[in-house]
Amino acid sequence: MGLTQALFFTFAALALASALSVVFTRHTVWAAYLFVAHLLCLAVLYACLSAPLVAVLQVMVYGGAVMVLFIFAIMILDASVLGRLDWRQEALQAGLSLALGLGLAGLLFYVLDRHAPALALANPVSASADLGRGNVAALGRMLYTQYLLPFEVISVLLVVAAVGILVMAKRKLED
Amino acid sequence: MPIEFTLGLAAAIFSVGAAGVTFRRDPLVLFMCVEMMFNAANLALVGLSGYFGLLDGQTMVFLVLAVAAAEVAVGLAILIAIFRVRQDVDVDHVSELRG
Amino acid sequence: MTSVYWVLFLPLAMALVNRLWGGKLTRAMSGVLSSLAVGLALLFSLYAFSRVADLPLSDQGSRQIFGTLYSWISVGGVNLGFSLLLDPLSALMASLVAGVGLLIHVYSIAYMGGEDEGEFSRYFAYLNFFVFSMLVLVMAGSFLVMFLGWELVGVSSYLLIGFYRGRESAVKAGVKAFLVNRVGDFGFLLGILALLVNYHTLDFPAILGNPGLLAGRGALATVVPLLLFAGAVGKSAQVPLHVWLPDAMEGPTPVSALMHAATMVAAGVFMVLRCHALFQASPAAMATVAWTGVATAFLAASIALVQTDIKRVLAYSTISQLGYMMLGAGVGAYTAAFFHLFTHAFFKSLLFLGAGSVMHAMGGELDMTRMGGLKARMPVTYWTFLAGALCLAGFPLTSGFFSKDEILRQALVSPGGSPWLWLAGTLTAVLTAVYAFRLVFKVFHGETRMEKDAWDHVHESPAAMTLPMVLLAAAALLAGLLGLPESWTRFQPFRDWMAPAFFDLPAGLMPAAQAAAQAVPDWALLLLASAIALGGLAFCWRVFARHSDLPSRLMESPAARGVHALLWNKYYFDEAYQAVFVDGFRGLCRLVWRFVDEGIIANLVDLAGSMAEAAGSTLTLLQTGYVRFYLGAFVLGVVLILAMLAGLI
Repeated sequence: MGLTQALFFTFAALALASALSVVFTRHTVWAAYLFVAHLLCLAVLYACLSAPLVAVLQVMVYGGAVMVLFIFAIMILDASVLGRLDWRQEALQAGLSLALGLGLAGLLFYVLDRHAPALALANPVSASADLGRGNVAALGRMLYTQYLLPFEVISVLLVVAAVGILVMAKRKLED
Repeated sequence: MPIEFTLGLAAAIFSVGAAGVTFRRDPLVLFMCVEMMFNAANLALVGLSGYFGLLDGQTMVFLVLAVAAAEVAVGLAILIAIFRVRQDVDVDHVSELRG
Repeated sequence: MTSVYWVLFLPLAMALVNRLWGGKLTRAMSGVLSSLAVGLALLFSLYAFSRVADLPLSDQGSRQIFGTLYSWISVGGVNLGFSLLLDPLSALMASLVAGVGLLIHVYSIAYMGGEDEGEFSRYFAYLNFFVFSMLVLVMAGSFLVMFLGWELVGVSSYLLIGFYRGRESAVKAGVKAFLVNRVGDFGFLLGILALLVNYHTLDFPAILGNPGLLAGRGALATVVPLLLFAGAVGKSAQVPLHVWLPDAMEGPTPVSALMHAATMVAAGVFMVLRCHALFQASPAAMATVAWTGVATAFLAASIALVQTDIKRVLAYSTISQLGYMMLGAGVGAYTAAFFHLFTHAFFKSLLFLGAGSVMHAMGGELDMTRMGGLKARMPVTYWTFLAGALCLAGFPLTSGFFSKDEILRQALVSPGGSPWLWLAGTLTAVLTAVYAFRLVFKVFHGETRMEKDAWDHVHESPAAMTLPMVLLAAAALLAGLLGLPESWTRFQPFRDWMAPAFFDLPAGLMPAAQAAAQAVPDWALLLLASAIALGGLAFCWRVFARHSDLPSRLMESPAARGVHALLWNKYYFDEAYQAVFVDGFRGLCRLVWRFVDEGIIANLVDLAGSMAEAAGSTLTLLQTGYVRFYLGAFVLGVVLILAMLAGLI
């Protein structure tokens, strides 16, 4: 087991653990920190999966921008703990959510298991390490040629989102 | 890296996110769970991209990242707008969608 | 055939010009141009007439030009063209329509002068359109084209009857004419379809040249002519579909003269004559035509006896004369029937124009009990009207005398005739003489019964109105020369002209009574007819011109009062139709409305609505408003779909 693989499995475990913690922790701020940890773990996993650009973007966009937004929101909303529900109600909701999550997971694993042989057969190249090195240029070329239209649509989407946020954040004129 | 493991991990994280979305009442955490599901999908894409030696999966991840970022920004802005009006963030108290 | 196209094209073009740019033309322009179009159409149809005259007789002894303008409908094995047929019948009828039409156009320029430009050009547009439609009908070369013309004259008739659209009775009369005609047209259409099924074509030469094909199909040989006859009954206002024609007098008087007296109502007779080959293949159909005709003639003449509205009297007289024509067609006297149609066109349009002139002078007054003495103030109108009335009454040596007498003679002696038909026709002739002279004496003779003011305004009509009347009077008096009795002279232009168009009734059908009737000498019949007309004149002179007290003495007896009421109310046809068809249909509709619509359908619809409502209110329970509930449902949906895709469900 090489270093990469060791890293991968370690951080995979950490990612899953932090994901679970986000769901089960009671404090919003703690949830935010755990979520950052989860995102960074994923960045490591991306790096191990020979996707360095995605890993870097993950750190910049999620670990940076998105988290800053969350922290700001927490500061503004000032609601670290919500009022508690009746325990019976809470238990019922937890049970239902758990059942739903487990059902989904079971189903996904079942599908995965069923299709694993087909996947193995389809394997064209054994995970080539070459993909990782210097694929930034190739990715960029792809984005600006084959995926130009989605790329531009995404740009428009971002502009629209920015304008929409401005409009919403602005206090009403008549106030 | 064994592809089955990567996909299984993605499935697990996705399910955790889905369960969290239905379980938590705090809108911020709710958003985090949604992001978690996005990330699970990204993980599956990156894994398959490496497995097949194709860059298309990573390109897709790039696009998903952008959409997720936009979604978080807009969603949090909406949250803040609601909070301004109601001084309350429990999603169960925002039930105007009732028919 | 080119001339025929121009005959049709000119009036149509002018109708469009009048309708589209009517408001921009002055009255003089509009009227003169329209008259010019009809005048040119008359010239072209006279040219066509001469062309037919030059044609050599064909092998079958007929004389015709058949042409197809273009292929109209081509479906499957059926190819229906817009075809026209020029033969002695259509050439003469077209010239008649265009000729009378021209006179009426000229007359209308003066008569309608009081209307503003828009109405004036609208009137002329309709009038031109009518001439076009009538010419299509007359020169049609196939049943399809004839039906087209048939319906087009129906439309123009509707438009012109309801011309005074501000007047409710006029609008209602238009609708009534249209609806009553629909009844007959339905039969006509069925007949045409039956012909199409059997002959796979609708062209006249193919069908009328081969009546034997239909005769070989059993009952069809009788049914098809009767269906066609239903159309003729509607259009020519025969009993029982005659009720629309008296009401049609709501239109302007020149229209009544042109359409509801001279030309359009003759279309039914024309159609029967055109299809006589089909009719005479079935003795039953012929008898139906003859008896319907004579019944109509008698009923309408008796109603005309007591009416006081000038135009109504003339309307019933028209119905009665159309009945004579049908009688002629039904006994196989086609030439005589068409000759009567021909002479009737002149004298009846003349009478209507005279009535119009009287109305014009009296400010729209129509009730003859409030007239009298007009002879002195309106000499031209009086003399021309008298000429028309003499023709109508069959006064010796006028055209009506010869044409009516020929029909009655044929009713007696023709193979398809019978003494009873002759008797009924002769009785009708008596009534005709009486009501015709009653009209003349009541309107023009004696002391006036008008108020002083109105009487001072009475004046002769302008030349544009009197000139057509004089021309028509001359034509009406002299037209008899074309068809003098065969026993008098060998000069028979009308009969010789029509001969190629008509087949004779096969003599083999002749019953014994007819053979015996052949022995009745012509001079006896002519003498009887003269006696009837002169007797009628003398009687009316005594009773109406001299103001005898006979009418009032008659009214003292209850029987006479009953008869008068019956006639005055036109045998209660309108009331019966109202009760049976209109009210009956209303009742049926109310039944359907109450029980079927409200009782069944409405409840079913309500049921659908309440079911949807119930389903909706049940489903709103799912809409809790809780975001997390929605999210959970969403995830559950994803799970279920995934499970389905995985084949677990």
